[in-house]
Amino acid sequence: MKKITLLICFATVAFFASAQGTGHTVSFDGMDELKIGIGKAELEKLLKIKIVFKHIGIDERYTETIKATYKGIDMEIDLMRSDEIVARLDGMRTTSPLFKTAEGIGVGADQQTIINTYEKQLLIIDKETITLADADNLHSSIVFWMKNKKVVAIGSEPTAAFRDRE
Amino acid sequence: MRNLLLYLVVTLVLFSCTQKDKKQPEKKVEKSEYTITKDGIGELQIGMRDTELEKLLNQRFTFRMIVDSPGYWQDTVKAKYKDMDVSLYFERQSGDSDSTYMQLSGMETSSTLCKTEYGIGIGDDRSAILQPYDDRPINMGPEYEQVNDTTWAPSKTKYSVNVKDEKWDREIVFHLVDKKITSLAAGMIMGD
Repeated sequence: MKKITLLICFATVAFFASAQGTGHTVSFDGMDELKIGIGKAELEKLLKIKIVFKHIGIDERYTETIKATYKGIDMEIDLMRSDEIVARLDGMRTTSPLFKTAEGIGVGADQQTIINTYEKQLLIIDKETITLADADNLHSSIVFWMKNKKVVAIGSEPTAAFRDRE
Repeated sequence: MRNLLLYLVVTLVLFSCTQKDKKQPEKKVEKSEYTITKDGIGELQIGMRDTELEKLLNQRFTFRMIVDSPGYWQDTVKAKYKDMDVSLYFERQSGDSDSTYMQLSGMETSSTLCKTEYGIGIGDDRSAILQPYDDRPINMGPEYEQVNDTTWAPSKTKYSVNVKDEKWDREIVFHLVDKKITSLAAGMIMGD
């Protein structure tokens, strides 16, 4: 009986350890291989789709958001018109709990945990979001969308102030 | 059995009451001449001219930076207001026909007399700031210190929490050292 209990414990630990390994990372650069700044062609390869624009290159709008699936996870992807590469990846987000920051913050985390975890970095707290700005260049950010002080979506995008300035 | 049921009901009612209390937002304390808001402290209000302030404080200001370097458009003056030491931040503004005047753009104090309308003051913890200003945009992070002529780095001890108004026009700034408030400031939010 003791051996069976030990075996079950071991199996549980192994299961959770492997589940952790399948996690995806959100950083200031992007989410996994989806890096801010990559061109349309590379993005199509990673998403395994052909992107057909409704606005970029068609009307005056220079940004566009598309819905896509990346490794089975639903994502929203922002693209910005770029003369050399048609369009470049300008931001992305997901409601999936599989994506987490390197510190383990993801969907379901609460506001206080974010504040405590990133107390040495710049946080911008607004009604709907908490933005973690990259302290080194204040150019990129990880954004947590909040509802009732809990993260409901997570993403990576340029800091709004810097996006406007460019 | 009946007693047990009664006990359970009373416990439940008491529990729900305490939960309700916890959810209530911080209550505002009565405003006084020591209360700091995004607009100023007491009668010291952002936007006032230097001449008005000189009259109010019964003090003559000397704008040293402006006198020494005519190109400067900002200056700071130390003053006393209702037993509080305050730093007054001024900006040069254009008046009529090429004239200029100095306008109060912000102020800061480390006086324990000064508190926000929620009673937050010097010595309070960072966590005390967030709850009452729950519905306002907040920027928080380490302050940057100059390491040498060309490099700035985030401080290990100094931190600031900027509580902005809805229009991102004015703000209250809480300066902290080792997670405790050491000074309170009110000011205009500078544009890019």
